[in-house]
Amino acid sequence: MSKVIKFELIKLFSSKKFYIIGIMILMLCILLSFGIRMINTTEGISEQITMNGQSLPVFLLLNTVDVMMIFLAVLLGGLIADDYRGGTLKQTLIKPIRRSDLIIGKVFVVMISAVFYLAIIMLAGYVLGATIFEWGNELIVHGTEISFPALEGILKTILAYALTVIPVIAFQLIVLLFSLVLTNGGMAIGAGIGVLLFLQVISGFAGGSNKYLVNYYFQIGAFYLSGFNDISALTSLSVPLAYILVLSMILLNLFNKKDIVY
Amino acid sequence: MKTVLEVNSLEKRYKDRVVLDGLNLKVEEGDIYGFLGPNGAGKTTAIRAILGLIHFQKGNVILNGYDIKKDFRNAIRAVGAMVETPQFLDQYNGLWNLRMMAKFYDGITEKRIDEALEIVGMKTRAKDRVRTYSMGMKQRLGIAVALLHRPSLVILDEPTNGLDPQGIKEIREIIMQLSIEQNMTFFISSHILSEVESFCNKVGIIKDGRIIKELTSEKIPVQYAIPQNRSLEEYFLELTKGGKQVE
Repeated sequence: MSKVIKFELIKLFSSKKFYIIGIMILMLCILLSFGIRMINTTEGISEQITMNGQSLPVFLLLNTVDVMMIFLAVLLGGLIADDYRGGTLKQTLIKPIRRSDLIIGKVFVVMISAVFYLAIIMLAGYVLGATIFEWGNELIVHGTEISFPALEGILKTILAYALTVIPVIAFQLIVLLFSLVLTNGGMAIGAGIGVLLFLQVISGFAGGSNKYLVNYYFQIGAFYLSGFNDISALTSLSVPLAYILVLSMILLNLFNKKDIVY
Repeated sequence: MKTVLEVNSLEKRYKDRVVLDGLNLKVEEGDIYGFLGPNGAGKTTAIRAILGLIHFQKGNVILNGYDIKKDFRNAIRAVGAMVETPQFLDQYNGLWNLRMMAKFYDGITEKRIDEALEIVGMKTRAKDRVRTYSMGMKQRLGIAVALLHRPSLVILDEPTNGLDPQGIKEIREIIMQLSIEQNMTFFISSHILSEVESFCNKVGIIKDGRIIKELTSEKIPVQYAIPQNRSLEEYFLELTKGGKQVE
């Protein structure tokens, strides 16, 4: 299995798209950071955002994750479909590997991409925060009364990012499923973004049922930092993990049955 | 003689359309088996089924003694294959692609990669991007991938597709040389009858998803096995177009 994972990761790290998306996410972080600074330094704007270098990473996490989902969908929409249509999937499948190994390799790509882009946001947050704003004495979670001393704040920030990886993977497995079923990269990207928008829209009407929607957990970092006041840690973890489990099983099952005809 | 490929009563249907209708064939060690058939006869489907790329409803495929449905990894381990025009990550060069494919096997050295490129005559173009390759060059690279791990059985689907006459001759010579020197077994689908006639010792003719005639010759070319001194072309046309009954 490790051979397939290695193979898939080499392909990922050799792809220009992977880095271009990284640059776009970085630019988004820069834009947001300077946007906050502009708001805070423009006279006449009453709603200022309390910000310091320690708090910017959390602010960026909570405010860029939805856009990152779109970028990730663009990256991952073709992950199976392009290999299938391009005829490179058959090259891999006639090697001594199991089909399930290949799907696990693809899931690894999803995981590493999520970690990579979240790491960019976090590092950009600290660098931009320390450069544009003052480092500050504590981590302030925007819009709440919550604050943490510096070291605890950094650890909590890292954990908030780590927890966010879970729902990100859960949603991107939906994109991967589209990639497998539709066998068309463009359509899979469109369907993935469509589902994301649909989830955002119905979240407004879902009321208490919201907690069963995967996009609700994109804010898991905020739930954690607020001490899981609104929703329990168990629910926050088990719902996205259930998505991952079910989607992985569907992916494996469908891929095992798929005829490779390109 | 050891049987390296055995296909028994293979059936593949797409809804009501039967593509493989109880296909049977047997390839023995050292054979150069020509798999002939008109368009739509089921050649590529059969190759895809043999390689586990598509599922089949009935029958079984035994590769090197292993049933592909029960132990695919061991079955395919000593098999090299090229299905239709091989596709690569064309933004990278041929060498990069070959190195990537080598990762699936243990013990493939840079020297072996070089050898494979040398065998197919692609060493000088190995560092060029695949997108600059002609179809024939992609075919050669595909054959290099198939040979990389020194397989005992090589399955090639239309290997001379897109090659110029010189290229066809070279590929034919490579196959014969590997068969003689390394006792490699080849299973080759083709629609070029003269090509199959000249270097195969066994020919299976497929029509409507099943083998309608199998010719075996003790020596190459297979023409020795065709009755009444006819050419393979004549014989093939009679068989596949429903001409007069042949022996």
